[in-house]
Amino acid sequence: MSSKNIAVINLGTSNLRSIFSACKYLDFEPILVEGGKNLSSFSCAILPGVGAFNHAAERIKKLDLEYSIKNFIKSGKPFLGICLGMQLLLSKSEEFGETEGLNIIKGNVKKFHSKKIHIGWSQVKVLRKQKLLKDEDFMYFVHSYYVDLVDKKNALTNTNFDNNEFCSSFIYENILACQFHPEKSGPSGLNLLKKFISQEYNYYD
Amino acid sequence: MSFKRIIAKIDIKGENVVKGVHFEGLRVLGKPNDFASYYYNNGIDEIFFQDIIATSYGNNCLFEFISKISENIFIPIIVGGGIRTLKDIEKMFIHGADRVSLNSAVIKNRKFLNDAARVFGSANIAVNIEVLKKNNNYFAYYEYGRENSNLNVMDWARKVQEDGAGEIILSSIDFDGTGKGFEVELLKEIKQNISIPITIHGGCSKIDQIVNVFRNDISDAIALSSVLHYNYLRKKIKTDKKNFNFSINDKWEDFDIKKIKKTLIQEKIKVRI
Repeated sequence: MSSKNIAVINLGTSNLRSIFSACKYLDFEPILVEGGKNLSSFSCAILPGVGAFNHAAERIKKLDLEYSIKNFIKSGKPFLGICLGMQLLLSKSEEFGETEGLNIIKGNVKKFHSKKIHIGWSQVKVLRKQKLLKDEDFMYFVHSYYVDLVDKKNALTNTNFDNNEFCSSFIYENILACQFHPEKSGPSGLNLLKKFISQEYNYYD
Repeated sequence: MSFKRIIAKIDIKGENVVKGVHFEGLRVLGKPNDFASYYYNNGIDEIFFQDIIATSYGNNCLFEFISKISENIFIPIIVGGGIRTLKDIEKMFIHGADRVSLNSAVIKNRKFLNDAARVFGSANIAVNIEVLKKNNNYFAYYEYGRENSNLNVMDWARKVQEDGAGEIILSSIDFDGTGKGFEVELLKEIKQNISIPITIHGGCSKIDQIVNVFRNDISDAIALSSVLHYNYLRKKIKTDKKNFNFSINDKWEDFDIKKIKKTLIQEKIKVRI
């Protein structure tokens, strides 16, 4: 049996237990990774995140994680960003003034105009056909900021909230990033995790 | 416009699921894990666990239980009961809660809600308002319906919204466990004055009552206890008479979560399937 070990990057306040539980449930082996550690021995890395953008961005700097994250992504192995972990991959965020992100993909993190918080289940609209998500799959969201990509072609799904259609997930090279929480989205979320980590997916532009 | 949610509220005392009427006369119904797993597999949208003695005894045994339950349940989990400090909230999240529900601590310490919302984000903080009508006024109660704060419910709802609550759970002590329907009059008034999402709890025994609340768009979610629990037990009694010896009152209409959702969809109300 080939067990896949997964680096779960610890940014502090995240709900890591659900991600751990979901990985274990799918027969993967999650390992908590604190700062500065070499990620290259892992077959997959997950950057989760709940909380404020500036705190998380500071923590990445303080723990010297930027280099290991970027290096891991260069290796071509699957990298998953969830919620704030998706937003951190962008150039910058307007949460608490302006904070720089990892700038791995070009774009900004913006607040919903209505200032409302998006809590609950919403459907995804699939823009590129693949095996991770189906059109109208229900996913669980908790956020008040969303990702606005410069190159919209990278978006994998959009979701409508408060008359605003935003990018709810994107695939860029070996990175999958989602605004929703797959570890909290029941069977469709588990399916996405399983297929992405095992790289059993194809997509067609 | 957004999808309506059905939440299972599971009250816990010690190691057991309990349910009473008007927050009193608690009856032991079984083990939380059995109820939660069944609801998860039946398509519930969220589960809300409330430790009902944690506030008065200060002993929070929910942590261990929540970490166990989050190993097999992959939908949002809300946890309430006995949460007093930022450390308590952090500990809840570490053990697997997705959102926390606050009541007594927020009434006793007005700064707490503001701090919690700032540190953990409003989206992760719900405020549970226990409501009792007295002399034609609605009051906010705390300590699982034992203490009257003398706060008017509408004023209190506005205040918690202002202080950063991400949502309000309105639990009616008058209607709790009675099956006579939801506290619709108060709910209408609250919904008109509050912009954050609202969950109504207490009084449900029939699907029609759920349909009515959602059709009139006076709540974003509905939290169910008795009616779900007794229907689960009804099923268990049929298959395992020996271990489940309960008498179930006929007032609880016979349905499960799948049937609720099917009915709502027929009524053109958007829910997750």
